[in-house]
Amino acid sequence: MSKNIENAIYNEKVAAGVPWSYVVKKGQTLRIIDLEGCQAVDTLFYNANDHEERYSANDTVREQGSIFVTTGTKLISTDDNVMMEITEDTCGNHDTLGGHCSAESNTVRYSHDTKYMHSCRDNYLFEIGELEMDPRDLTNNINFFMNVPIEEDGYLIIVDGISKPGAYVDMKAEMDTLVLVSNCPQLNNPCNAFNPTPVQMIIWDD
Amino acid sequence: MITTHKNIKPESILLDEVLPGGGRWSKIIKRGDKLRITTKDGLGSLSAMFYNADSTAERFNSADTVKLQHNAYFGRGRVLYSELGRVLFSITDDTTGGLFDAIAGISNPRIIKERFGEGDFEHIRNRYYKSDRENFLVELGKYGMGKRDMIPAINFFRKVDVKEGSKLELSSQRAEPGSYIELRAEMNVLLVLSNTPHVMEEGEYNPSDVQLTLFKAAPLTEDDFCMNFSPQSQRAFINNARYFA
Repeated sequence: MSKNIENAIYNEKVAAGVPWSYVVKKGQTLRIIDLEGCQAVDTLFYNANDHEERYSANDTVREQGSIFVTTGTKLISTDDNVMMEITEDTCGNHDTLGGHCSAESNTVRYSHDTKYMHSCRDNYLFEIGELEMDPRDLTNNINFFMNVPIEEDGYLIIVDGISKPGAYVDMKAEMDTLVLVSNCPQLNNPCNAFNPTPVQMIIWDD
Repeated sequence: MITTHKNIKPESILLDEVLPGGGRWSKIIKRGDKLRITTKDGLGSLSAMFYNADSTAERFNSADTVKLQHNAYFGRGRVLYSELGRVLFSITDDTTGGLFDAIAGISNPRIIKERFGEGDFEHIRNRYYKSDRENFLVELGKYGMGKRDMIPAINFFRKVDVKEGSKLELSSQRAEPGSYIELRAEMNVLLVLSNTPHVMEEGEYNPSDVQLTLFKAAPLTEDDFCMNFSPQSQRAFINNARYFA
């Protein structure tokens, strides 16, 4: 089926700084659109029928031999299964190393004054609570549209994004997958150009 | 077994034992104590997962650790963070030249079989080819923990290079015989170790013994090297102090 907005089975805007979760069924394709560009979309994946099986950053990057997620990347689970495959990507080089921001890590990264600023981990914990999952289910996530180059000596830092307004990434589910997102509210670094913006979530049937 | 340890007073040693190749190990390392992990032949390769022993929902977070130190690699002076902005372990010494890896993860039975072939208990008894996944599930189970607690691990004595900005390659660099890393617990830490070949290793399944030396360390002082390694570390140690206030 061609991917037109008209034949999408789901089409919702996710506001800046909020969590979002949805089960993408096997065979369906999820598109995340970076509406205004340079947003960071912190994303985790779970087997919808067994949350103990989850996205594994280590297995995903090791099996493909590259630290970046892009077209052709298979997202591998902690149980060694393919959860999703990236089928199209108009941005490229999505981050797998940096994880998500939290109130606590902000105190270390920036200053203790940042402790009460909103964060991805708080979004995750809220959503995990609502879904009656376990906080231990949280793990290293993918940061779609976030730019973290790495140098030969290991040096890395979150730098200005390369994602243009309207850039998108498509991923096809290879199992029923619960996708958990924090549309990053960080205001202290350029992961989202210091200006969190909304993203669009669209799902198509096979 | 090594019987004398450089810079460790014999009377401060609490425990000194060999973890054989293929084996698994766990212990709660008390706040302030140090664990020296020595590879006698330089061919050691350990995977580690660790937790706040008093509240295991707080655990090592490799992403935060890499992000907070602005580097994917490790060495003396660096600290290993939980996701709560606190330090679990400080790397107080490292004579391996930075042989740590927090990118490649751990092995599972499929990988072991593909790399090293058949090596089951029925045929080779206790030399059978264990994977990290087996080791961690078994050892975590002893603490009532399980798959949810299988966190992204850190590997000791091997390093994975990131070439050309993205490509992963197991470094051929190996530790000198007798080299070690030393960790100081900054809270009570449950440490779980799996002593199997690095997940990207190829060739023979021949994991090497490592020695684990637990000892009492001098109390933390204001000029501590790890605490003052970076402004980030200084703030993290403030978080630890507040946790214990």
